[in-house]
Amino acid sequence: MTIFQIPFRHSGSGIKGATGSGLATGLVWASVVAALAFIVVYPIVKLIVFSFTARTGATFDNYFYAFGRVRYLEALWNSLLYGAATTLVATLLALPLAWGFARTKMPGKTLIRAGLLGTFVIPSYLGAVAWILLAGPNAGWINRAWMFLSGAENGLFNIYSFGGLVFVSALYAIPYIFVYVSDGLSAVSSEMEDAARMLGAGTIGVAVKITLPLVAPAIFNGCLIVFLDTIALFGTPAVLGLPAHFNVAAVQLLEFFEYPVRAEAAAAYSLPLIAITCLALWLQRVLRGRRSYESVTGRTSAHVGAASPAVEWILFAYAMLILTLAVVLPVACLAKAAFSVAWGRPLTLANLTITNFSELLSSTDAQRGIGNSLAIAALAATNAVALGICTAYAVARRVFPMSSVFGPISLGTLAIPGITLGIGFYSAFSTAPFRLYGTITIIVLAFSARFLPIAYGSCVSGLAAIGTQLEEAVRSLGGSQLTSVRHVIVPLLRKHLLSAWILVFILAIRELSVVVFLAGPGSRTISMLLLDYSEGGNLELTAALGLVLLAITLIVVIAGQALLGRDLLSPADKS
Amino acid sequence: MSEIPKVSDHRAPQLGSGAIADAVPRLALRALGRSFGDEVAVDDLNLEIAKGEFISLLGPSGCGKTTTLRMIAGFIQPTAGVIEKDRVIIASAKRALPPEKRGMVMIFQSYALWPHKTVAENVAFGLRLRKVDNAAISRRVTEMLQAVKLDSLGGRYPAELSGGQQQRVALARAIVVEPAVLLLDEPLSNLDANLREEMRVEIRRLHDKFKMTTILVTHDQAEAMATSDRIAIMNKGKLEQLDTPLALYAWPKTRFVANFIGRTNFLDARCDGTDVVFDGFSITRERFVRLGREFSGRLTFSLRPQSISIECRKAAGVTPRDEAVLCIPATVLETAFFGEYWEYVVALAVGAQRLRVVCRPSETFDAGQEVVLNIDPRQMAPVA
Repeated sequence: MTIFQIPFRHSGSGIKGATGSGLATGLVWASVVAALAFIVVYPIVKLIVFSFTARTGATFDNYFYAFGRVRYLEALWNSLLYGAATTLVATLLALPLAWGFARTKMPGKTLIRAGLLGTFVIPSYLGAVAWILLAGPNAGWINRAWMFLSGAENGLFNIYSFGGLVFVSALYAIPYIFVYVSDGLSAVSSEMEDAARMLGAGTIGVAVKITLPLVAPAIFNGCLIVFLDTIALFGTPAVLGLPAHFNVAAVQLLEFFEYPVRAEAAAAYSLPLIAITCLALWLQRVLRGRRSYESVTGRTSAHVGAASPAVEWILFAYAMLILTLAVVLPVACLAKAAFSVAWGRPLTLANLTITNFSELLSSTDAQRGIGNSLAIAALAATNAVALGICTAYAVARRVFPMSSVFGPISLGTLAIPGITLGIGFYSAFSTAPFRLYGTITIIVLAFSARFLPIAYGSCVSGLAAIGTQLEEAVRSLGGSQLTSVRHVIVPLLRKHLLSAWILVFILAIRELSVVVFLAGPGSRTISMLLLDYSEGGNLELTAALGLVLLAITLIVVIAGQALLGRDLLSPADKS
Repeated sequence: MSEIPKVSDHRAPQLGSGAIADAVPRLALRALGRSFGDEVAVDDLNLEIAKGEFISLLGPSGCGKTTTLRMIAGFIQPTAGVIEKDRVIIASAKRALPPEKRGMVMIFQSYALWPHKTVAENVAFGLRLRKVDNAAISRRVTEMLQAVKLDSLGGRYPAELSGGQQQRVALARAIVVEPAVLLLDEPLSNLDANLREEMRVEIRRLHDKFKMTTILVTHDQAEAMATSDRIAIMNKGKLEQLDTPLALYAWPKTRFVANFIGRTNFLDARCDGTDVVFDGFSITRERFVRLGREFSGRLTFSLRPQSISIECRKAAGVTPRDEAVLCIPATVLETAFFGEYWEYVVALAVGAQRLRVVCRPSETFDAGQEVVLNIDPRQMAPVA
């Protein structure tokens, strides 16, 4: 489970080479420093400066404006509420899955794993669109089925509600919690559980009293990621929350960009999100610092069979239910809508069409959007991985005296929610001398910064497993440090680099929160088009484009798994 | 001097002290030091290594031997003193040549074979860096693999080899580039006892075949003794003694060396007129032929358990067969049989001195038996 795990602390290993300078080496490190300063440090500093800027000079007016209305404050509060509720629901939904996976012989594990990967690759705003088709008031398929079966006047669910919003967001957050917790569970020595059982505790007793506290840090880490991701979510609340008049900070931020544009106020308004994130990361450190769970990383044993067959089948049924709600029903609904003249009508020959796809493929907007998304995702993934390996190497091998500062800087954007980062890049690069607003370049730069922590984390964990002597052997045979990186580090980290690249690609091709602030008419992406189409009410076209996005993602995932020899959500070191 | 035991090593008579002083040393460490913060790892180390010589740095863990080797290799910069190669300074506290520019090759404790390259690719790597043409590379790799007896395994990956085979690949990879100096960092510590013996013969054989100047770091006394021309014994960052293996054993200069190389008895003594007085016996000064006349005051002697022999008191005549050997009455206190030898602890008839004595399996004595010890003063070494 290396992909989501971002190490906050690591010990540098080895003693650095006495000297290793050369012109080429110097150039590499100079450009790494420049890149970090340009795409991480500068936008964050500029965002803060920008929030105090007015035409007349320095001012607090932006803050008065941003926090001067009840509606704005309410949106912030709603974001916290939304984040907390989603995290809670996702955790409750994911825990039985993770426990069943790690501790029982429940059937269908391969299928469930594939299903969770499917859940992971479906962006939650696309899931939200699908759930409009499923549980929109009156017109949604589930509601119509209910009305037909019971003769009721009204549908059972209204997806345009706080509950609906939380439910959909939580469904697509399940994989994050699952990955953290099942990884935590496999690290807990089963001897601790056996010890409790010897003392007379039952299956449930052991799970609740021993296992749960031991994996609490893992659960907390998963919750943290989900919470931070959710409060920065733009697409899902825009699709499901706005019709219910449920305003959140992310949506409110974009409102500041409507005429008259109050970008400075948006900058001020986005800063509390950074504060919340920092607070949460600090809390994580404090919680982890007080109790030592070092013993948890004891001997890992494949301890399965903690539950009776009946329990295992219940768990299996539960997993199937979750996957049906998260993947099967939404994808089926999208597919049906994509091939329908009108999504609400039944699946008859008259309603069957491929015009949605032909319209999509003939539309210059869609063509350009797909092209933009592919280019942006590929470039951002390449940048992030290239920068990540450089900074991780500099930190792990203490290439020069100050190189350890690369660590916190590379992880810095972790504390910046996507929407905030978007505004940071807007403030940093939209004006002279850069004038990059509306270009693909600015989106690529923003994504490179946003996903750098993933690439960095993956490289750090990979580098930790490569002994310094492998490189010293190169040096002692007459190779420079660059030679050793090229011939030893990169080939040995190949799988880490590839999995980081694929992960960044998948996350980048569907990213919406950053794009909404940076895209212009020429640089719109698939994600933005999806939002436009669904807001314009053209759900058939939305569904068709959504399927295209899923198809691209799936091809990359499958190609990646073939190259990696394992699935993306499983630990790299066990491959 | 003809009557004293010969201490110069049979293996390297040409490397007697005169020869080393005359030739330009391949490598010289002068007042070399390294500290990490307040902790001094290596202190004022002076060492000259001749071309083609095989030297071991031997000492307990934490004695600074690995730090010294890594300074020579270029992975650690000294904080004091200099390292010279062929009279050119390659490292000092101010400047240090990077490891790749030193013409030395290091073999690591972990072997550090690159897991993604085959055996042949591992061995060829150094040649590729030296821009050797492909035909010559494949010829030299083949020859080298033959030399280390791995001819058929060129296509394997390191993970598919046994520990001993990996060690041979590491040797081949290092030697194939014909380094001026070969550095070995505890190369045998990951092998089991039998393989270790085999590989230490192998390392010496390859050294004799390719005649590289070699520095071996080890904490294993047998490994150093069996392979080296000279051994530098290190303790707490300092050089205790630099000598041939036999000289270290026969003439240790310090208590540490006497204890570290084999086992020994320590005997305290004081000079009194023409006699050297021990606890329970005394020896006239002129019998310490090797020491000359310069010693005086109180001193401690090291006497190896193997240098003492035991005779039954009845069998021993009044006078020893060799005039130089002393006969001292004693009583056997403890006996222990180790299969290859007996070990006795004896108490001298007069005084409180106890001595450890090692005897052949056939020389059996019982606890409490009264015996005569034969001690040769020429084998007693004064230690500081």
